[in-house]
Amino acid sequence: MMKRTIENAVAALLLVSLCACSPEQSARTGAQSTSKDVSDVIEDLAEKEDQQNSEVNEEKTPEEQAEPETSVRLMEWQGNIDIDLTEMNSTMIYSEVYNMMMDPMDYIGKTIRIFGTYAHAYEEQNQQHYYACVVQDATACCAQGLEFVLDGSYVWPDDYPEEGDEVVVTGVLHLYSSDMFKVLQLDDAVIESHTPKA
Amino acid sequence: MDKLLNYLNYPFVRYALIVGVLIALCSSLLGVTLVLKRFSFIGDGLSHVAFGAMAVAGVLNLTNRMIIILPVTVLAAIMLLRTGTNTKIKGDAAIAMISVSALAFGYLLMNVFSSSSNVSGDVCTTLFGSTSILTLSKSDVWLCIILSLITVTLFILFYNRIFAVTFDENFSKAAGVKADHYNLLIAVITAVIIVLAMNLVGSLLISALVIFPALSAMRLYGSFRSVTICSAVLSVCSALAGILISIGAGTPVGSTIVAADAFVFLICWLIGSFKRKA
Repeated sequence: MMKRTIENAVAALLLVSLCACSPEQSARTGAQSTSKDVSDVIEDLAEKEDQQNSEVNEEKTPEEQAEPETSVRLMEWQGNIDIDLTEMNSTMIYSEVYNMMMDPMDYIGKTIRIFGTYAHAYEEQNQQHYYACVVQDATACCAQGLEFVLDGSYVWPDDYPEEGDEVVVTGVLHLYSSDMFKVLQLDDAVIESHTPKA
Repeated sequence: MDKLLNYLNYPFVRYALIVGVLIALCSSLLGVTLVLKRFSFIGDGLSHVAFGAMAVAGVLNLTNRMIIILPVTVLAAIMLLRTGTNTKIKGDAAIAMISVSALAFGYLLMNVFSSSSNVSGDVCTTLFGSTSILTLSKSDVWLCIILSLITVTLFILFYNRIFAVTFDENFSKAAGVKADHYNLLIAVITAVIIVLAMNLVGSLLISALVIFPALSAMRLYGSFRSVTICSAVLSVCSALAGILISIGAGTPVGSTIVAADAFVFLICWLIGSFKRKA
């Protein structure tokens, strides 16, 4: 009984010691804290970031500031769509794209509509641009990309989205050889929808 | 509902349902034996060994990784299960030792000799099985069907011997049953099922497939036969529900199946409590 009482008392003391001192108590003892509150630290950091951003904006050249923003050319796909990935959730989209990669012959020639994140790469060796629509699985730890080539009416870079924008792309699936690899690609594709990244 | 019915038109969804049901059935049958023999975490241990073997196969750039994964996992299962109860290092300690070593070495090899551009993604998929079951090839499905049929057939054929070895190994030996052989059989079948189940729920969640259906059935029934049958039914239903929910709602497949198993266990526990009070 005595042992339990002592154990409870020790536990209670430990709990009390974990509690922060109230402002009234600091005032009563007369001690003044020189350390900042969390909110003060956050405000300081926010002010610093605002200052840095305004400096970066001021550094823009007049040409850059005068340059108009690019707009993505949206077009509607004319014809039937065989596989509409925009109607599916992330688990199904990822699985379907994975299966396209593993069994491409079942999908060649089919019209596919896909929703994902726009990615762009430029290969200096052969001066080639590559464009892809990237989809992620439910846990977002894995990603698949489907390369696409927009139809001849699109002009680089004016009609193309920015890296990271969300796009809906529709095209015909086509297989081509590149070095030792076979690559799947959406041919004569159009961008049907575009959402700039946040 | 229409969307779900539409999804069933996709072959990879049908493959996932077939394989999911078969794996759930086999793991539940074994689960009763393993839970009663106090080897509940064998699934975890062997799946980590399989992960380590997969890492070695990846480093060696093997096209068919089963060549390494299956034999190594079977060997580990034999080491852990065949020795029975009379060992210096008991079941749980042996499992923990082999499990964490294999996991650590596997991850180390994958990072040092990485053959993939997305090591963390590959590791995440293997550990949690987010979409693995939906990315099976036809040959994977056939392999799973054949191995599952063999497992169920062996379980039915040797049901009485497995029952005897599960409940009282020493008495079984005294009665003339070749307990070592049946321990070996259980070990090999367990290893095979664990390797297949990694595709369904991933390495970290495999124990749920083994443990939950058996424990749920034990809340409801007392006899070995009833528990085994009930465990199989509950496991299959949970796996089906988990796969369909994950496809419909866009959630990771492995965790959804385990969540369904846990939910079913809760229901069975409640029913069992009410039955006992009545």
